Amino acid sequence: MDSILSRLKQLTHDELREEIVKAGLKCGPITSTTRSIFEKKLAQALLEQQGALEEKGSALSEESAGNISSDSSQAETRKALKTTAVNHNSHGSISEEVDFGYCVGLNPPEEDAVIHRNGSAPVCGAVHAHSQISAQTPSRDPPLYYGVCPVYDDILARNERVHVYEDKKEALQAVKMIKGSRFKAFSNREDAEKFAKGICDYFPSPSKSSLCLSPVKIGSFNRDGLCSPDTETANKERANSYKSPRTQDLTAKLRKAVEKGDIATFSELIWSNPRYLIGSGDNPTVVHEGCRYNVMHVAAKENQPGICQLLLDTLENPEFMRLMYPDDNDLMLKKRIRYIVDLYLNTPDKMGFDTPLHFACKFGNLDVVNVLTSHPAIVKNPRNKYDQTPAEVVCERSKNKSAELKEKLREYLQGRYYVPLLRADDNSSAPVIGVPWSPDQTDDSPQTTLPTYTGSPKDPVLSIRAFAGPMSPSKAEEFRRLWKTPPRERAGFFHNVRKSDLERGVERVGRELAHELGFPWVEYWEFLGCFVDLSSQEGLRKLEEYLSHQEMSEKAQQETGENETCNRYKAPHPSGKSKKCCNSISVGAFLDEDDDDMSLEEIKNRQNAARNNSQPIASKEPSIDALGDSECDILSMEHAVNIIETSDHPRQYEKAVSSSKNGFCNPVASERIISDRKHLHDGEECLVSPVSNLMPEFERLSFQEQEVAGESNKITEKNENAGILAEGTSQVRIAKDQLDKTCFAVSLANSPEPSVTGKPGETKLRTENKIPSEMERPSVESGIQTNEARQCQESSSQKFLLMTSPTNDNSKKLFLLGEQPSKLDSDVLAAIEAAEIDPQKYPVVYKWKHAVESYSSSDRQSWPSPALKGRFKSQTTAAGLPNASVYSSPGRNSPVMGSPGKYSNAASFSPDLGSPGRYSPACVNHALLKLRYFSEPPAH
Amino acid sequence: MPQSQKFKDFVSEPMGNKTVTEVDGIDENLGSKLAAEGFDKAYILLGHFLLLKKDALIFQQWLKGTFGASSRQALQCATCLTEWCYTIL
Repeated sequence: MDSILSRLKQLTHDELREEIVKAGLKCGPITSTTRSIFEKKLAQALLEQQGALEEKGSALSEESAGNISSDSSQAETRKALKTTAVNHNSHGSISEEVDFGYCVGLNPPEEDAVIHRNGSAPVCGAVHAHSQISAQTPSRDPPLYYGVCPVYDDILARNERVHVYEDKKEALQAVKMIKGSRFKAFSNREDAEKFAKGICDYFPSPSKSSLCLSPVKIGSFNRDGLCSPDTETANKERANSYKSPRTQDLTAKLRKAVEKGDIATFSELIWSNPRYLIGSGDNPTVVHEGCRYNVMHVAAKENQPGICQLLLDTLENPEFMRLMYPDDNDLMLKKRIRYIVDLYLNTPDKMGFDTPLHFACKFGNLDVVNVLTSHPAIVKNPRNKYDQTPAEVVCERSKNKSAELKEKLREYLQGRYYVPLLRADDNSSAPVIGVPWSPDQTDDSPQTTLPTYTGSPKDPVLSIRAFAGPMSPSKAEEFRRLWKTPPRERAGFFHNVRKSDLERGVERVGRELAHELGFPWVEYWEFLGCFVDLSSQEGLRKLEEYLSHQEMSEKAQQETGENETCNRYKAPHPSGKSKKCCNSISVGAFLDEDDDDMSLEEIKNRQNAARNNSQPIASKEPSIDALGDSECDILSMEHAVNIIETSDHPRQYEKAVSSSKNGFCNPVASERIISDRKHLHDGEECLVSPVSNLMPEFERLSFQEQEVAGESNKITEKNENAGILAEGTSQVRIAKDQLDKTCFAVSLANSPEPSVTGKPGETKLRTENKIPSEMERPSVESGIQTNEARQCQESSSQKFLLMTSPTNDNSKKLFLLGEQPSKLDSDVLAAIEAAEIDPQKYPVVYKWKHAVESYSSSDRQSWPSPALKGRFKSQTTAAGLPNASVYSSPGRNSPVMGSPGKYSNAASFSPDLGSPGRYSPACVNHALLKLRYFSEPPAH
Repeated sequence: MPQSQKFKDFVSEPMGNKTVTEVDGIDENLGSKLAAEGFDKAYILLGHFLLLKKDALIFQQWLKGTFGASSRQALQCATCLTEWCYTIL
């Protein structure tokens, strides 16, 4: 090793570098200081290359090398120690009363006193380390006395002992114990005692008085080394229990999340502690020291439009601000929100005075620019250090972006304009296609943009019913022209639409045009209570939600109409899943069944009685048998148990048995019962529209499946009931999974069932098992004697298909407004015509669409339009009605809209990026309010 | 001397992982020479600049002497790093 080292020493820098590279090592710059390290590294590597041959030698040389290095390092540490010692000494001797109390036991400089216990720890640690070092130094320095002075108030009520310590550790301990105290080192004991008593040299900190003036600036106060009770009162101003995150957390965690676009982590962080976003004085937190970037800068730079949007949404969510300021009133919160949103959008960074918009433009991040420019509070032409506006720096940092993209960026920067459609609420006057509107132009004359025709009180009140956009001003103008006078070749069609459909004709024209030209389009749907483009995924989701909800309530209503047992059902409905309710429901259902459908039931009863006899010990319940079969049986098991519990009355019990055989007695979920009952009614009356509530339907089917298996099995394991109950939930999940696969099939099967149910005997069996036979085979196979059953199922399912087709079509359908088709149905159909509907994802919409399409178009045209009266009712109740909310509470910011957990869903507009309407005319109220405040000098 | 775009771009952002050629005044040619000596990233060059106690003159001499940079290049580079340090450090 020595030889190698000495050889290497002879080399020049360049030769050495070559050697290093040859040895396969990385080579940084070789300088006088780094050279020896590189030499050693290289020597090591060379040595290893030479292999084990010179093992001995290497060991020796390594030893020597180790000695050298350790020697030098020892020397260095010694030196360092000496210097610190010297420093310390001089410190102590020159100014004997050095105030070590600075920052000790006090708040960290930045934020608030709430965290002071925590915050003191690191500082103490530092001091601690320091004291350790000094402890190592020779004990030449005179002994120091540490006086600990409690806060002033405590001194007045002072009691026993004087806090003077010789050991700094003890002193620190005491400081920690006595809240808000401070300590100081003295060379003699008397001084220390005086200090500790607060007699000499106690004067209240100068900033104490200023504290009251500026409670927000506690930071400055903290530094002077006193933590008096005043801080506590000051803290009440900002009474929340969040600690300001450490700088490391801000930069490491938050910035990482933003850079990666990790929305989940980001929102988790900021919701766990709003101070991640809101720094002192309501300023944005700095997540990149040095250049002082905030989250928005980073997100804009790293092309994270999702984060940008989420950030804006979160900041504008009053719930979020409420976390930070629980005691503020709404007005104050709104001001704060405006203030911080403005800062987030428009704060320049420290380096080039670039705003987030500059960054987004520079790097050509189109989506971010879209998000930013869509916000009304954005300043579109701030100047950076080099006096450039965002438009001037477009794609400066990413030259290889296409010209098209640049064009688009510039377009976004010009402003986002919307073309609104205004209608009178009662449709008494012709609809008006409004002039292009933009959120940030409103400050000139907010009044003229919205209700353009407010000339006299007699004039109908106009409200926005639909709008296209955002788009650039020129395009908006063009779109408006096109909308008013459609292109010649299709003018006839459009005119026809417009004239024939007074209520939604203009919308239809606009919709078609917007979709053709690729502009976002939304319109107001009363039944959904919001602006949405139904052909978008968001729209379909809403429609799906609405329809399935409709379906549920529909069923519930039918139940009420039936008989008194239904009341029993209805009451528990809201609480849905609770088993107790369900039990009673199921019993009720059976009774009901009994009353209505005696003949059928009797047949079943007889059969069941027979079956029961065959398994006397076991259970009074056939479905219990199913237990042995497979995991799926647990579900049925549970139901069985429930039934046993409920059906104490013998007759009821028999009912229960019979119905359970039919699959009617699954009491787990109330929905299921609904569907069962529904089913019943179908069988009995055939005028109820069957609703494809797939989940329950499916559950039922699988349940029946198991019963069949159980029947053939004749195994009884009643003992396990209790344990199995617990598994009910997982069962439901399983059923759900399976549901995915078969949902549509089931929904088809749903309606024909009644016809089969009417038939006695095996038919029953068939009906129920048709679906399971296809998909549940594995579980069935786990049973021992299920073959028989399966065969039965299969054959029946085949038969069944034949039967199904005719009945299927004409069975009852659900429409948007009840059972009768209305014009709304055809309107909605027209709106979603273009969209591809995925039966998996939107089963109910799919079904509805089929139902509506089964009518001829002429039929559809003759459907009555929903009564105007009804329309109004729904309008006034609808939360997001544009007109109504203009001058009342701002819809977007109302607390109802957002809950912390799922704020994105709660907003009435789709959370998708670039989705229309976020700051669109629909939110004009919001924008207006905002602008109104903006015209005032910003409150600081 | 009007500031070049390259200067602005470098100075207006954190250094991050930028290559040495992104420093103002360092072209591909000079950059490859620097990289050959181990100065492949801007932060390494900055490190050396700091080692020279941010002394722009000595740094320029070092650039010229070691890598054959022109006076103009050396000046640009030194200004750039000085400016960067001024804003960020």
